[in-house]
Amino acid sequence: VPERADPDDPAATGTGPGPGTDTGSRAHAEAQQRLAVELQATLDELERRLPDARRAQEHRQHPAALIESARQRLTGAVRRRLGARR
Amino acid sequence: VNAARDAEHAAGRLRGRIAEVSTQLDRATNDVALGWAFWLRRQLASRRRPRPGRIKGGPLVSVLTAVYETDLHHLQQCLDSVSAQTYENWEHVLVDDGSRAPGVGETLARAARRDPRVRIVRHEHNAGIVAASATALATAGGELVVLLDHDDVVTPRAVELLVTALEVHPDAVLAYSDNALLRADGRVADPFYKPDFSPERLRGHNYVLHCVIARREAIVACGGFRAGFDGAQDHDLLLRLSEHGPVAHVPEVLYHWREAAGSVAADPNAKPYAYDAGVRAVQEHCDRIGLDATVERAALDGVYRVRRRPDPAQLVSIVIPTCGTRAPVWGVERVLVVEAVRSIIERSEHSRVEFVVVADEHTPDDVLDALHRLAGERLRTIGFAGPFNFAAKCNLGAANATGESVLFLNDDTELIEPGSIGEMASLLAQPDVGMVGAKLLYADGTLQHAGHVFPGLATHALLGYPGDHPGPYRMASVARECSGVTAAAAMIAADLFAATGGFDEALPHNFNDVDLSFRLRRSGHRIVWTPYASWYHFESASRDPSTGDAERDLVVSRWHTELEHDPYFNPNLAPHRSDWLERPGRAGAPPYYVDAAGHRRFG
Repeated sequence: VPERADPDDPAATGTGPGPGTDTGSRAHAEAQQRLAVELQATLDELERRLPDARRAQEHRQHPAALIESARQRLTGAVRRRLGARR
Repeated sequence: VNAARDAEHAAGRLRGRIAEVSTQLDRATNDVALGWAFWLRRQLASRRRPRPGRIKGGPLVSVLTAVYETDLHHLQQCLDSVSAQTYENWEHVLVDDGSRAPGVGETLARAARRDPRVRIVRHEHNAGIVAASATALATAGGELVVLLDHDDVVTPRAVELLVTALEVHPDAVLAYSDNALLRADGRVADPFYKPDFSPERLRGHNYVLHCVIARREAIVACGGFRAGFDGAQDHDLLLRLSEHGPVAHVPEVLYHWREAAGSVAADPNAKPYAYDAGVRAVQEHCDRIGLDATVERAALDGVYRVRRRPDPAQLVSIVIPTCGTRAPVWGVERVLVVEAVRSIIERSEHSRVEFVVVADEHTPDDVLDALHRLAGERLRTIGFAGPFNFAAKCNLGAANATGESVLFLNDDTELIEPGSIGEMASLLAQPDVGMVGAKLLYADGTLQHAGHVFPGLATHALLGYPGDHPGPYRMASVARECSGVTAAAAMIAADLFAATGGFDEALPHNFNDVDLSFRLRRSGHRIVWTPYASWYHFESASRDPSTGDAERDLVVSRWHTELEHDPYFNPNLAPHRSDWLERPGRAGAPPYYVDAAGHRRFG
């Protein structure tokens, strides 16, 4: 909780920061540092997902990748069917 | 306080990066989420290529290409893309600028044998792109001219749509389109969806790029290609053409800029001399149009800072509505209006200001006393009675202001950039600039305002991005036109504000700045946002941030057309997003790819 600043502070106008400036800003800095840890975890998770998402996008966008993917799926399906018949 | 601010900024950098990565993730997953059926339909559509030459008649269009040591495969693709145009009445004028590489001359000669519309001129010695382009222009017979780089590729309807743009805008001297990059593997990527013509932005960087259509007589009238501007000859020509008449924009990707090794598309440092030429091109443009400014290179390559000279004698009235709110900032409680005023007194380079503080009747006396002690004779306090009405308070302040221009400033702000007020005032010196907005940052250093974005109700461009982010296509690094700017920090000429009738008091909380921006634009004024003026904005720290239905309904009923079409956005971008995300299904869709043997293949 922010508090008012030191009344002897020459910069204080009587309406500016009140007593306890150091306490308030220190508590705020600590709260922000705790928040930063959570944000870093969120960012790490997003950045971990990014390469896969980009690969999927490239795969979707590139016709050669589509053809290759279709060929592999077809081959796989044929093999599975042949295997099932045997 | 510094430690608390630094800690909040550190968290803000992470928050900004999260916003940026979220956009990238959305961009990457959009196409995938649409499903294979959509993808297949798009591929099939791209195979149904329109028949070349189906558009008969029309003016002769000369496509000008300077050729020098071009990769043969790239050159052939360039030639093929022109041959595939749906518009029939074209000629392709290619100037071989003394190429020694084997095959270039032969490739060109073969193309000319196949199609008489292909015309070849050869320079025996390499004379540079300006001389080659000038030769091409002198050879061209068309009344319209398309500029095309030797390794770029135009889409089949490019000439047709560019010609149509000039037909629709008969007074336009020039038309440009969106473009994408052409990767080394043949993939088309990174589409650049541009705004409609933005003269302020063109001074900041060549966002139009180089494949444009122009009227030949306009090019000749403005002096054609000029020697000494190699590397920035296109920027120089565009600036001079823009001085001759209106410029049209086709919001569609009509050409693919090749990302070849050694090209600026692949490496912005590839042609350092081009940026010095760019500085001269912009400087001479400013001199020609009477802009008292010095042009210099900005931090990013290819970006220029137009440093206008503010008039130090000009009185700027800073109108600040307040009720003397106390709120915590960086862990310490402050009286917002006092610190807003203090930051200007202590930091602003432009000192000829008056503060017109419009204070609610219940504003504490000690706040007003503190303001008087801080600002002395430069302060005027105006009492305001009645329920909260931001528009009415601003109007009252402006009516009591004596300055030539008025800076409307929220009380929950703190000046960052010392040159902000001078920068905004000097931009306003251009008579067609109606209002100027500033870069606003949240307390954590992330972007709060980089200009309004429509369609839909206003949002702020790149909201929540890192405060120092250059923006897509560098849009946050340059001054540029916007459809509107926030009145949290906006400057307008006092007489213009009075002439427009001020803010609409029927919009007491929200959208009064949107309404004023639209009225200014309707009267022919430009709204400019600049990154060289900046404040912290501890947004809504001093009042309830919620928006009212009545205000929303009023704005929508009054401005539904303007809300649906933002000329400084782009219809290819996802509406209701402020992060320049493409509409799903449009991102990087390749019309073809190039196989190992160098043949173009279609999905």
